[in-house]
Amino acid sequence: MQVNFTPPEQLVLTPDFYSSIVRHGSELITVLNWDGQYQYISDSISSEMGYQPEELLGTPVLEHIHPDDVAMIQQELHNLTYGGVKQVSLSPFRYRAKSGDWRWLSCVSTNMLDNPHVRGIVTNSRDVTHQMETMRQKKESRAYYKALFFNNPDLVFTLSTSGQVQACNDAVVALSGYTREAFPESHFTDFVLPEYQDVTLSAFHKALTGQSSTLDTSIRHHDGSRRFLSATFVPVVLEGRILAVQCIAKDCTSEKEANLLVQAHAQRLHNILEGITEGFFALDSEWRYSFGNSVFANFLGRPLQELMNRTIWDEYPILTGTQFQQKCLEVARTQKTVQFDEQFCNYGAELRFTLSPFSDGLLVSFVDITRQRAAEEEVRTLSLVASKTTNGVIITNSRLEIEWVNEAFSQVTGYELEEIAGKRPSDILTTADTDPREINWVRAQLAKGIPMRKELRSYKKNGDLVWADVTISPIANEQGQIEKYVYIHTDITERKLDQEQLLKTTEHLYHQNQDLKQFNYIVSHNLRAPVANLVGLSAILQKLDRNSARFMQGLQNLETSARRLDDVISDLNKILAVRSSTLQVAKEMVNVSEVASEVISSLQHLLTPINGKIEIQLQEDDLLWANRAYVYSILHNLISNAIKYKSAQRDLLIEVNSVRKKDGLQLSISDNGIGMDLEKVRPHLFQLYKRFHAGPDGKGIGLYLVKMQVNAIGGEIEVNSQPETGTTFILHFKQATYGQQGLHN
Amino acid sequence: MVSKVYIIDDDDISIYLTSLVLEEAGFAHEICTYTSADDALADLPLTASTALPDLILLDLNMPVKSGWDFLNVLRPHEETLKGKLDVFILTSSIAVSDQDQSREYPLVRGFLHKPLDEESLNYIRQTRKGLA
Repeated sequence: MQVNFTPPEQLVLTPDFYSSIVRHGSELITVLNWDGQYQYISDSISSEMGYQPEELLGTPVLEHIHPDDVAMIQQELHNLTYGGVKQVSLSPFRYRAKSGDWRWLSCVSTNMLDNPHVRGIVTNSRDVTHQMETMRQKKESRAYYKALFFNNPDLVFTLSTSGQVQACNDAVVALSGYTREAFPESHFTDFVLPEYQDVTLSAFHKALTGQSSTLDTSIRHHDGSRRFLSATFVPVVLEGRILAVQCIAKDCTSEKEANLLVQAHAQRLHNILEGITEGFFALDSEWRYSFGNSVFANFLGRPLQELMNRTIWDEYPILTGTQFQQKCLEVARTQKTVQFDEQFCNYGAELRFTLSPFSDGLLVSFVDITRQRAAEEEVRTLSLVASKTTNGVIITNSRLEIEWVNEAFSQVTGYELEEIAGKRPSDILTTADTDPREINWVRAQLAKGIPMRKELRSYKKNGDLVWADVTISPIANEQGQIEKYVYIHTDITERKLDQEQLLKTTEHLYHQNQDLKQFNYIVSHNLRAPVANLVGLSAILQKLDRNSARFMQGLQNLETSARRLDDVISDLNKILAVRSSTLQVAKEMVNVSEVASEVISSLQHLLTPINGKIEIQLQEDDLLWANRAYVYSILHNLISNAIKYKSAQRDLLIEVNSVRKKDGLQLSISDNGIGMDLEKVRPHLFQLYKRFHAGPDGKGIGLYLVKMQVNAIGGEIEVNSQPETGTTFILHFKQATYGQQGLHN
Repeated sequence: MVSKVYIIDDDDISIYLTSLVLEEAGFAHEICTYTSADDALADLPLTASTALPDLILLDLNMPVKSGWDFLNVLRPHEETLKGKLDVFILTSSIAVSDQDQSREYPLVRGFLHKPLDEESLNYIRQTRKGLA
């Protein structure tokens, strides 16, 4: 551009000079008349507003002003015109440019109506549209900020670089429960729950380095409850410097809690599924595994993750064609639950499946029933054994009440299950003479779980005796509580009878053996004694002078010895006779009184010389079912003994009495003789060839014979005696013997 | 020759016979006979050694006090009597148990079966000399 520069001349202050400055100055200058009409407009109007000054001259100024601002300007002009005010600075107002845009003007108006050169109101105007726009924008952005900050439903707060809460909005107050005043004192982490402090602080520090970040955190409400927040830390940067950290947080407590609830539900569901002892898995509609519990995983021996989302038929081609697959397809089609058992030889297992349809596929639960099957089989076998065995079997409950008996038990005892169910076996298996203490002891043992074995006498339903070997086993469950008792009832009647027979035989043999010993003793001592004398005498006699007195005495002794040998032999004969007849002695009804009289008369010749007396107190009907000769022999022996061992101090008195007893007849034969010291003699009293008195009269056979004869007719004998006082023999005859009289009278 | 012999036996004929055999053999200077153990014990001077018999022929099977009872009475004096008094059992018993039982008594030097004869006498003699 060509600039013609001329050196400055002396400035001449002419009206043209002023007019030129005003007209061409950048500032818009206008002059209004009393009526507010333009009188003058500087040329700058064209550049400012697009008008030519001539277009506006004579028009009222208010026409060009924004209707909102008119009132204000009108007032100001009025004040200026009539209020005596010289000059006013008008607030910015809008003025319509030629283009129709509104331009902001800042004006200073001066009342120069009185000035004769002007006669108007001079207004200097500056276009402040740009400033006003800037200001408006500023205002707007503040309003936005305010709206964003204070009216934000989310929590918004500003932290100083040191972490102090500088400002916060109402949402913060509402959510935290603290008043605004509480914040400036506090570091923001004071409100954060301890377990979230580290992450929250690191997000804050990150913001201090200029990076924004978002995290989940949790604060403690004033009332102690917790609130979950999703917080974003944003650095506030001005001219490359971090002024503060802005934090915007969203209350996600309910969301979080709902989440936690969902998680808890899921966990609970998981626990339930894990807790059930059945194997359990789910297949989606594409036959892919979508869930499985650990029982299922353990059964397969594979981790679940390995299976998830894989197709069952691919994973286990072995299932193809199985009942399981058929049923799966069936359930998918019918949408109905099915249950079935299937055996898998490869797994050595039998499984019981339940297949249930659900919206997303199929639920499969299964139980391994292999053991159950085996147990069932065992039970079946055992019950076969129990019911078919020849031993009686009783099963009771824990209260010993019969629940079951097998066929054999019914056969042996005649009791059917129906009639004894609920009863105790002891009611059937024991008899009245079983000691109740023993039964209680058995029960106590059983209650402790101790198995018992006993031989019991019991009666069949028909009253027959049964000897039974009874084994009772308590059956405890896994917790050790007794649930059942099993009785094995074996009929041992035959064996028991054999045993009893054997016992009798043994006893009999024992007695025979005792007899043989006794017999041997007789041979040894009593038979050999006279024989030894005979041998000795016959030897010596040969050496003696046949005419000497010694020879004659020897000869006499030889004869005596021979007689004694004869006596012993005749004794043995008697003994053998009684003994061989013991089993079948001929019995008849014997009148004791009669026999006693006979005995006394046969012994009278011995009684008379010693002035002995016998008092008999017997009843006419004292009858015995016995062998008469034995009764005679018994009484004869006992009375002879009384005579033989009479006391030298007093005259002999013998009493023979009878006493009727409830269980039989009792006879007693008492004397006042020399008596015996029973302490010493009792063990040998009724033994053969035992004598208790010196002298030639006793041979030691009498009492032995008496006892044998008493026993042979079913009686017992006992003795009472005092030395120097007398002896009493008492004979008991049991009812079985005595009672026979009833049959014959 | 033995100075004094006791015969204890409840069988009178046996006593007669035994005495006769001893006399015929000239076995002893003096023969005392007792039909019960108690009688013999009454005569036996357990405190003064002068009149002790050298030999006792003892029967076992006797009423009231048997031969065993007699030996039991002598039990407390065994130490004093040993070597001075020899007991020989003379019995009609042929039971072995009796012979076994007799060994429990140190005073018993021999067990003889009736009747007493020459052979038995020789046995007594030899035993007492310490030959048997």
